[in-house]
Amino acid sequence: MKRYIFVFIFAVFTTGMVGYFALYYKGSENTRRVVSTPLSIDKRDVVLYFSSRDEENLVPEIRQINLKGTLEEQVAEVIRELINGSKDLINTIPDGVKVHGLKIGRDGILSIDFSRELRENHPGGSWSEMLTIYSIVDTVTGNFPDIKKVKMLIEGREIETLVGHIDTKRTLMEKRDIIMDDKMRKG
Amino acid sequence: MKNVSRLFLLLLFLQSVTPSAYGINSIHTGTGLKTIVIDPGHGGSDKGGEGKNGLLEKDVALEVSLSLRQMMLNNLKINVVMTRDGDYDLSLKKRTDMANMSKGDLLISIHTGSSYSRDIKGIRIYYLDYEEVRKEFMVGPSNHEAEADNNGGGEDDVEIILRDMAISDFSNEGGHVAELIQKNLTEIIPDQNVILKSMPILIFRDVNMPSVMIEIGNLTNQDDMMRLKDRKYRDKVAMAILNAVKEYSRVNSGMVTR
Ligand SMILES: [Zn+2]
Repeated sequence: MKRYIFVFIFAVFTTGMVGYFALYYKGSENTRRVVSTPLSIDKRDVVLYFSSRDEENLVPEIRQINLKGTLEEQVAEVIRELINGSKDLINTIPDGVKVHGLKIGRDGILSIDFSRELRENHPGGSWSEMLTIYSIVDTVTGNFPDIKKVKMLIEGREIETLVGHIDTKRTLMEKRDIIMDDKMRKG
Repeated sequence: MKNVSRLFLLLLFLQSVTPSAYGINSIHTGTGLKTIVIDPGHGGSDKGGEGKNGLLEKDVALEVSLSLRQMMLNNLKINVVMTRDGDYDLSLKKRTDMANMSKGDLLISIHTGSSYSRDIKGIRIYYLDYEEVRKEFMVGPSNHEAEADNNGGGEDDVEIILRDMAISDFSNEGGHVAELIQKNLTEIIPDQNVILKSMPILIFRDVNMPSVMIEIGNLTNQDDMMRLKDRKYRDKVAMAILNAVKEYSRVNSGMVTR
């Protein structure tokens, strides 16, 4: 699975590079904008995970996003996109949630500090809690292979649980078996 | 110092875990179950889910738990320990500690469900997903508190094996209880949907006993909310759980006769 993601990222990267050179040789006005830092890829396909309509699984939605700057800035952008929500699927992040900050530490642990609305506006059931947590974890680990684990914070503080059922003191690893796509492929 | 405390923890651990890792004699002796821990979800400032009509998860959970306790005391010769018996805050850590200290044979946590959309209804019974817990164990103890004090210190092999056996056992037993509760709920409330689900990082993975968590209806659904308000429905739920525990107890006491 890891290899699969890597190949995917590589493919996206290569496509980005080809696009870049194509634009460059065309000499269009866009070229100036494309050249930023060597690390950044301008337009990228990212996979966001939202809830299925029956609220049983996560479902991938592919979206083209401008990703610029440092890895942390790119992750923040992807999470913003997740918070913006989906038109066809059910949003797993409640209304009004903001990200106060995030940081990638050693061992590829991403800490994300959410605003209190993540808890206060959450419906509260344990399965909804599952979907919220893993839509975040699977989205960031799926798009950024350097991120191995995720630690969730609210208003700068560690939380025992988000809404009472799932241990979020631990750092969280990706969980692919609640993703509909993977299940169907296996079945 | 570190080693001494580790050894002490291991001893404590062996004491609390091995009876059920080997032979499960704490569960299967005498009349089967000796102590049941009932855990009403949420409480105090943590209201849990909330229905449109203002019905709160913490209140429904407590009321059902109290009637379940009464039914158990009336019908079974067992101890019943409540993690909370009033409306106050209680951390998961404290719930876990209370359950472990009471040397319970089974933990039943009572909740109501909530969903993003109002259409989703039904009862859900959750038990620990052993494979998922195991996966995390194999990655190492770099999680949780271990992360802060010592990274990559490496857990004792014996400890890992014992913990692994214990969790696998609790998970199987929990799954069994969950199935019995599903069966009994379906019998007593045939027009309600009852789903079984395994969960990876349930709050009760640190309790040294089998555990199940039941969401007895969805507060965000109109039909379920009306049912949850109804005392008859709540008593039916408690009755189904009681019957399941009775059956579980019978199976266990049967196993001890050789
Ligand atoms: Zn709950």
